[in-house]
Amino acid sequence: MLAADRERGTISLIGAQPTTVSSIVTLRIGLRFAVVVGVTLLAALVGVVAAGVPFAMDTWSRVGIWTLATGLYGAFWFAVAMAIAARGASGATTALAAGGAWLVLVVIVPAAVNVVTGALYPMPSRVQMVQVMREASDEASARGSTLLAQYFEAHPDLLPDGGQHVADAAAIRAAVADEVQRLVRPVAETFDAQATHQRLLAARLRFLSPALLLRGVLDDVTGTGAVRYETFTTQVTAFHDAWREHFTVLAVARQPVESIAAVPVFTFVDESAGDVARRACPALAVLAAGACVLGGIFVHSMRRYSCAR
Amino acid sequence: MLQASHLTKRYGSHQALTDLDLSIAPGDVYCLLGANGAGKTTTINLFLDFVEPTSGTAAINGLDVTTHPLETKKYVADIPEQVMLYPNLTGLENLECFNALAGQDGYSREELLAFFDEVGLAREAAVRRVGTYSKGMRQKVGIAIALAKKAKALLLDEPTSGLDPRASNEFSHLIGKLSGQGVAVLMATHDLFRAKESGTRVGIMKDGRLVAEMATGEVGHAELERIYLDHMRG
Repeated sequence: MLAADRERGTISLIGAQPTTVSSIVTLRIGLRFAVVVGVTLLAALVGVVAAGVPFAMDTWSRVGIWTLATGLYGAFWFAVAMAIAARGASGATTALAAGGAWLVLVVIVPAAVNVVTGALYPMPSRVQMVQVMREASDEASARGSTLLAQYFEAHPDLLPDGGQHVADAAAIRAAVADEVQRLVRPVAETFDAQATHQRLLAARLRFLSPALLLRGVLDDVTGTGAVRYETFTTQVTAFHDAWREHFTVLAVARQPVESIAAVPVFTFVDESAGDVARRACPALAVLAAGACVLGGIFVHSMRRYSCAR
Repeated sequence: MLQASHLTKRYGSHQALTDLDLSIAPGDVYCLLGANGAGKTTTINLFLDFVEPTSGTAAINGLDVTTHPLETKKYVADIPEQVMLYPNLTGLENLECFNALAGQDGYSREELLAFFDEVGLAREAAVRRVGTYSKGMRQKVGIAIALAKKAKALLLDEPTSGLDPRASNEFSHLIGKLSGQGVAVLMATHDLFRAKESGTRVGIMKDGRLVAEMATGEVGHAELERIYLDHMRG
């Protein structure tokens, strides 16, 4: 806008008025910011209502975080535009610089973060994992009776009265499954460890790009973030262990399922909006700080801005 | 109303303006003559606080423009060589826009149109997009902006350059009218004839210095031209 006024020649008429050029630019940018962010928020609210999301406190808290994140992200980019415009370059140069900033921060940096996390913490081969599972399964199946005996040695309380176990198919299968699980777990843990390393590194590097910061907050708010997924898989794994233990004991001890109520039931303990807000705070603070620093650059540059012909 | 005291501006090693002393009273029309690069536009830029003086002061209505940049701009209007307006807005809308920036946004539509009557721009033209205006019409909108702002001082930078004789004459009449209302006018121009006709005083600048000053009533057209050329050649 500033470059357009300079190129149009209206800047000298504006500069001759008893108001600062920076206040006019701020007003114009503010108006555009209000329209862009306002329309975005309105569309989001319409979406929330149309999707039939229940009007619970948690929902509104998440909408609040979403609103704040969107507003700060918008403020960041408008501040970028103001800081670049205040340099006083031509319209073409200003547009090129703004486009360059966008390209670097929204495309190049996130792609680089992706490459760096993948290079530093590469995920092990899936094929190798499947191979390990097959080998473990074959080996455990071949040692079925032995494994069952070892199982009873480890769990003597499960031996039937008389102290002699019966090697029936269900008991052997349960013991084999237990062994496969034990053999495969280190490989699975390697996957999980690498995924966690990647996530933690990406979480640190996200501060290099406002787009990554916003993406992280929005993922968390909408419940599609990595942290929630990890919480979910941890709970699922724990439930899986409890479920397997429950039925292994019954199978090995040749006991019937007497009560459905005793069967473990999966209950997902979800994170609260408060957890999301706590996690979003650093990202929101950095977006706000970035907007403030760029605003400061704008104010500083405008002090030296000349409307001279 | 307009006062320059030991006003000096240097750009690196280039001395754009040297030790300018100037005083323009209400009703005065002071025409600055000089070749390109003589320091005329620099003087106007300094009065508008578009550039900072290296030394000395420029004051409007007794206030130093560098220490009171917004206050002094309440009293002054600027008409550059090319009055550039928002081409997609009408003349009336441009007037409203710049009035708002000047803090004079209490005019009714009729009052705004009256300013166009005063500067001789037809009402039919005032409600047309400025993109269709000639240079003379845009200059008239510039004057209308100055009138609506109730400026006490007017800074003009080669305002008649490129205008046809009739438009130039009309412009001179408007300047005379403003002068009659007590507006102090500082006009940078190459047009010796217009300076003699419109001005009450002329100053000749050369290489950033004011080398001669005289009342227009004391010299004729030919004499003014001779003095000007003597200074340019000397």
